[in-house]
Amino acid sequence: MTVQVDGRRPKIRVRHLEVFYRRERILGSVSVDIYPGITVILGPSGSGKTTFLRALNRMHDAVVGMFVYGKVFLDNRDIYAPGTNVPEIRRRVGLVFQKPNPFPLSIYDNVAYGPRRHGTPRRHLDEIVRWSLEQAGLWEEVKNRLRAPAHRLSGGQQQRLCIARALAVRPEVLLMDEPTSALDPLAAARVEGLIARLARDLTVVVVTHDIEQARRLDGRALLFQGGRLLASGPTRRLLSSHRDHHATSRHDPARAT
Amino acid sequence: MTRAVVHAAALGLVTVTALAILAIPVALLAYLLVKALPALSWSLLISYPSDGLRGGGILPAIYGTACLVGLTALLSLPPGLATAIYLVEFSPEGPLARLIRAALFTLSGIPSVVFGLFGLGVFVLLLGFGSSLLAASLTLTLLVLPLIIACAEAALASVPSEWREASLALGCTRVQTIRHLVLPQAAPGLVTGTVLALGRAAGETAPILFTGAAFYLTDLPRTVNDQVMALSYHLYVLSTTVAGASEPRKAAVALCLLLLVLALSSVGVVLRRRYLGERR
Ligand SMILES: Nc1ncnc2c1ncn2[C@@H]1O[C@H](COP(=O)(O)OP(=O)(O)OP(=O)(O)O)[C@@H](O)[C@H]1O
Ligand SMILES: [Mg+2]
Repeated sequence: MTVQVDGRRPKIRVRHLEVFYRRERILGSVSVDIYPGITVILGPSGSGKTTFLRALNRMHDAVVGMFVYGKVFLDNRDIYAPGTNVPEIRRRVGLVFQKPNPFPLSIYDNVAYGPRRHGTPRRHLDEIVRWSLEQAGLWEEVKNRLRAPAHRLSGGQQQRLCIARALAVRPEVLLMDEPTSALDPLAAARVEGLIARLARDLTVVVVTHDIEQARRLDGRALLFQGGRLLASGPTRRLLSSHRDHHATSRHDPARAT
Repeated sequence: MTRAVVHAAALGLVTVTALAILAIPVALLAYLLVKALPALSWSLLISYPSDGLRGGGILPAIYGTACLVGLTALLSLPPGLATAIYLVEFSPEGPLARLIRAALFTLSGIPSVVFGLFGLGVFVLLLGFGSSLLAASLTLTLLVLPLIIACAEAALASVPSEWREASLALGCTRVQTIRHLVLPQAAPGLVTGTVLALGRAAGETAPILFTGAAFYLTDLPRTVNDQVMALSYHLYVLSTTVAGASEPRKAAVALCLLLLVLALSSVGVVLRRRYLGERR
């Protein structure tokens, strides 16, 4: 059963997804469709937003003690099926972490890291780096110091660098975990504009604690609570019908991922 | 008021201690240098011993120690690094990892003489390598392996997991992540650990005593099956067996050993710089 929205097919279909940490179930059971464009994920701290996001590109594989059950179809192929090429899945489904985590390399090498590993010819690297930094709205600020170490950038610039790094491998889906939570309002606004722009070409899934931001980004929303998917649907409709739930997640000081 | 006094006193104490630590190597080096001065000459470094080890040079001992350190490095680095990578990157909590850690802990507590006897029994006699450069280096390898693994493990573990996750999230494999991210980042620590371990190997006498160290050679070793002279063992011989070896001569041998280890450390520092420089 596949519901079409605006005549579009879902990019990702999640079915009976459950995540366990050792014996404890920290997420589940989630069944939902994710469409091209923007999907925001809302919910109080500890409700399973990050856990859900990481399940969409098999990042839980890297953590000892994490077990994932259920199916996640990416273009009709289950990414948890045996024999799946996991690195290939992660290349197609990029993830930007909540805390900016640039490599201790130059700005250029950060962006070029992914393409280099995937065998992109040398002569194309300059172009890819430039394109990615432009997409992330960082090019103008760094074009004259591409060889400078990435850790000299400000927090907001580092976050955009991480977005550029993720874009450089040309993902089809981009998962972002609270990409603006560590930023000042101005930098946050820039990244938000960037997300809206990226969503024209990609499937973008954004975790946010900022209700206003969710409203501005529009698109569809998933509301999590207590490790369960409480509701999903067009963001505006969801926000008006669940006012009391998302209210708990506003301005939450104790946000740990 | 009293708080400020306590603060000043603590600062003074810390400073004095730090200076004292600095003074130890300087004093040691100065002491040896002064004592060895009468015996120092180029010919000491580049000629063979004569007069029942009382005269002539110590070239075979310098060369032998260099060979022992070099071969030990070749033998211990690959398995040491491989083990550390397994422990940190592949199975940090598995039962095999726990077993390996226990074995290493035990190994690091064993006195070096015991390694010497083990080397004699296994490498020299059982495997038939005879008393040789190879048998001695293998014995030293056993001695330094726990140290190399522990240092390599610390160096690998110091690379934040956020970077590993970022690399994996870009679609890189685990092997690519280790090869292109973790190892380059851990390189300075790896170099330091290796230098530390090899410095230890250079100074040991007991492990090579029964396994490959020669009392007196008139020629340099040509293959790994030859015996070698070594600075550490030579110093031991001069101090205990050779009657009438002059004090400056003993100090000169000790100084050579010290400088060799220092040279090793500076190679380490240069390598570290190169790796750190590449990141800027
Ligand atoms: N690596 C982990 N080990 C153990 N438990 C975990 C781990 N990651 C998440 N959990 C648990 O899973 C639950 C959901 O965590 P998750 O990080 O998904 O919440 P979140 O909605 O992203 O919260 P926040 O808004 O604070 O980032 C929490 O109860 C947490 O304790
Ligand atoms: Mg989170």
